[in-house]
Amino acid sequence: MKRVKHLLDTRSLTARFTFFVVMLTVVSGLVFGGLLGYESMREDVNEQYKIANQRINFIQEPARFALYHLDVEIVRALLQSFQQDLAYRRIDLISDQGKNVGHVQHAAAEPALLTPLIKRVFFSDLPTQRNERLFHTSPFNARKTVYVGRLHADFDLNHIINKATAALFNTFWLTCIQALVLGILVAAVFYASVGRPLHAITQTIRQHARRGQPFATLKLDVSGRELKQLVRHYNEHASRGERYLNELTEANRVLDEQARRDPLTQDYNRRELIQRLTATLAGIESGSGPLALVIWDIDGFARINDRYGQDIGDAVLKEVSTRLRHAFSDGAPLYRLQADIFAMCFSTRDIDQLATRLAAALSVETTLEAQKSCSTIELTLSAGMALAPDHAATPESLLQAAHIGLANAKHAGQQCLRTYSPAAGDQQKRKVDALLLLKERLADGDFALAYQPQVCLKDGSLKGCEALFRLNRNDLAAPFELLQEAEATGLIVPLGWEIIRRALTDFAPLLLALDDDFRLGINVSPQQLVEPGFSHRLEQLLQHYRFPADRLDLEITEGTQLINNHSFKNNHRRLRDIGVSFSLDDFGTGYASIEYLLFIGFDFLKIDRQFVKNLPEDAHSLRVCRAVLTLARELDCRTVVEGIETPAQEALMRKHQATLGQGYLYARPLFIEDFIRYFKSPSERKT
Amino acid sequence: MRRWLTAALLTLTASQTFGSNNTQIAFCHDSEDRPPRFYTHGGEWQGRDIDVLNHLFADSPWRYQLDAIPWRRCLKSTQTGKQHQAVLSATYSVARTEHYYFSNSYYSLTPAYLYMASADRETPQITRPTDLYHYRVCGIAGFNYAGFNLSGKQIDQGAKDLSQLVDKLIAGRCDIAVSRFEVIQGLRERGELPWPAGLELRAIPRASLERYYMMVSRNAPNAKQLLRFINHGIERLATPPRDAP
Repeated sequence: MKRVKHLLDTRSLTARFTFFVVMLTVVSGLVFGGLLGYESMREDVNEQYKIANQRINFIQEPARFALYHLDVEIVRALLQSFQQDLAYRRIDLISDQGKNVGHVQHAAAEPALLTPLIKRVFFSDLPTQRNERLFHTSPFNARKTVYVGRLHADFDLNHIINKATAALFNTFWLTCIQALVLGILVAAVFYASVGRPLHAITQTIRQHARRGQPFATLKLDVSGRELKQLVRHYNEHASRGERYLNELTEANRVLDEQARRDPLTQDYNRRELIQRLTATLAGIESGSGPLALVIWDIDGFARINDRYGQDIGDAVLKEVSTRLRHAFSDGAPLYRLQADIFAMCFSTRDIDQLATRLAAALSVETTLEAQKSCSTIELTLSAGMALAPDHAATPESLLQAAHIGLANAKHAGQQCLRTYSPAAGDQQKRKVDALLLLKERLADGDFALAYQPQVCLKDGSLKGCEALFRLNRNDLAAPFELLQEAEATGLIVPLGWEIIRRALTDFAPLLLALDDDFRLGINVSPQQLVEPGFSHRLEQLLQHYRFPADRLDLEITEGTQLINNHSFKNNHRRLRDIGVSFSLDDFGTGYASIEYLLFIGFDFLKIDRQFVKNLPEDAHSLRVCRAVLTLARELDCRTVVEGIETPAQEALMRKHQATLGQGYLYARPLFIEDFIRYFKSPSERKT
Repeated sequence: MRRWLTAALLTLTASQTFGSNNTQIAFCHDSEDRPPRFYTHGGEWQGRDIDVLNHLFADSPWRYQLDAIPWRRCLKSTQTGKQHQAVLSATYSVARTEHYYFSNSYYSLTPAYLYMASADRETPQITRPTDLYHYRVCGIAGFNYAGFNLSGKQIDQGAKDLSQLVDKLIAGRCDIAVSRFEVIQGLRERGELPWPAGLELRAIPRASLERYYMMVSRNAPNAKQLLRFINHGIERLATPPRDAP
């Protein structure tokens, strides 16, 4: 059945039409021919039988006359006419004396294949013999008849039925031939009127498709209403399709443009850069100059966003984009890869000249309306450059190399240009490896926390500790690079929550054994604090571990700006309301520390170890420490002095009224078991 | 002397009548054997009719032609006078005079009848011609039985020849078959007629002889001259030559 369907589907319309016409004609011809032929055959047989009887009737009168007059010649002449008629097997004329006066005899016809069946079914009631007694009116008495003999006839029904059956089969074959001829004629007419025009239409459409003109109209002269409608509708459809395609092409062009451009600055995006780099790098010949990919980053852009808001940040980005386009029109177009990272490609042999131009354009001074007041903002840019094919041969690797150059520039103090170097590449690789390691450890929970005690400088009592992240228990060194990468990649957020959870788990059972004013210090990333649900989630954790909020101290580094962040303000206010204290970590090493102190309330101010390590000999460090301690007292903040390693340093800080001390003088960072032993054995302190 | 003059006159007349020395008179005759007057022997026609014709045309520069064809066809053909001009051995009937001239009689036959004599059949009692009225009588189709004085009598004339007539008699289709005595006798003698046991031939007692004539078509050109020529010949045939014994 599937094969038939396949054949029907793949055959031409003309072939299918012809097939169906011939089949229908043959089938209907056979059915009707069979019915009519059956009737015809019956009538034919009956007619022949009737005629045979009539012929017998016709000769009866002359036979009577001849038999009466015993005229053998007439009898034979009468029977002579039956010599060629095979409808009879035998005819005998027998005189009244019993003498066979004349007879005709034929060999019995051989029955055809279906004759016995037809004979048995349809003609079993036909007599095969006929006997007639013959009488002649006496010439001497008209009212008297004389028996003159008898006529005996044997009909050959096989011959009659064979003849009729042959006629039936002739009708059958004639029907078949008629069907065939009709089919051929119909096929020819159909092909001429439908098949050929359709073929011309499909050929024209195919030619249009091959020529890349799928919506070209058909210019065919066809006859017939349906075909004219087909061509007209196709042309209408093609016109509509062409219009739709144009609209779609335009829409796609716009979408593609939008997909390739940054909506803020209208510069191209990273995807477009990759595509163009792919094409450009593929076309670089060995003799042509190198391709320089330069990327810029706005130094401290995050601070601008935090300080002035996103609108000003966006304006800054537009201004930087405009300046870069004007300054480096030869490198156009400009690409904006990330929030504050732009890129350009330069094809030049004079790399040094390009570097000089780039280095001269790393400062942007602009005046922007910030919060109802005009502020002049001085921006600096850091730039990284990578060359193809010297540094990389693929778009991604070239871009990565430029990023490494940019990272070098950042490490070099910002507002400078650095070209990719393999060493910097190795450093970047190490960072990536470290980040992967951190992800693995975080996923497995395979890291450790060390706690460094904080001691009251007045009486030496334990007043708190700072939880410090360590990769494993065998390595007490701080993984600064790892934490920097976590901060840079946002991984610090889940890591921070895991540290909080681990610290609460460790200290929740110990609180009863510790002084009431003991505080657990945990470093929190600003990225955590700007999360809208941070305070709520922290509350839930505290409740879960039954950890009093007033025993928790969150230490915030001053490396990132939080001042204008609404979410931070909400989290800060809510957590302070429930008793959580805040410490400003590494005070004096970051940016805008004074601004922090003014706008954000802190309970503790932690003096960085770099101001303590050279005490008491370094007078400058001492003056800074005294100033900070005075400032803390003025702001009603308690102080934690980090890095106390000698009794002299302790004494000095105590003298200047510092509140708490933290450092190796008291204890190095301790794992929880050591910490427990530490606070339970006061004698072991200051070891 | 007078006879020679008459012959010369007739010859002259015939010459004028038939146009030329090459004139041929066509006679027709019944194709059935009618011995002794007409029959085949050794593949050739013989009999009295042949003799008469030979006699008629013996001294004549003209020739005759004789065709033996079925009797009815012979009558029809001669009636028009084109293909045949005269018929041999015809009996007289008033109806025939409408189309033919009758010559003088040139011979006569005896009316006779046949019957089957057997134990289960009654022998016909025929003492005069009218006795035939009491029996079923058969004859031959086309034959003239007017000389049998059976006017008004139904005769079964279905048989087409003497043989069939005898068969009918044997089969009992009729009681009596009428014919001419001399003919039946001749055929019997020649063995040309089936003669089963019991078949009897009798002359009809007290019946007149049946005379035979030549008939000349009234439509034949100069039919009367031909008639005179024939009658003169018959007359010569009937007159014994002067030097005859």
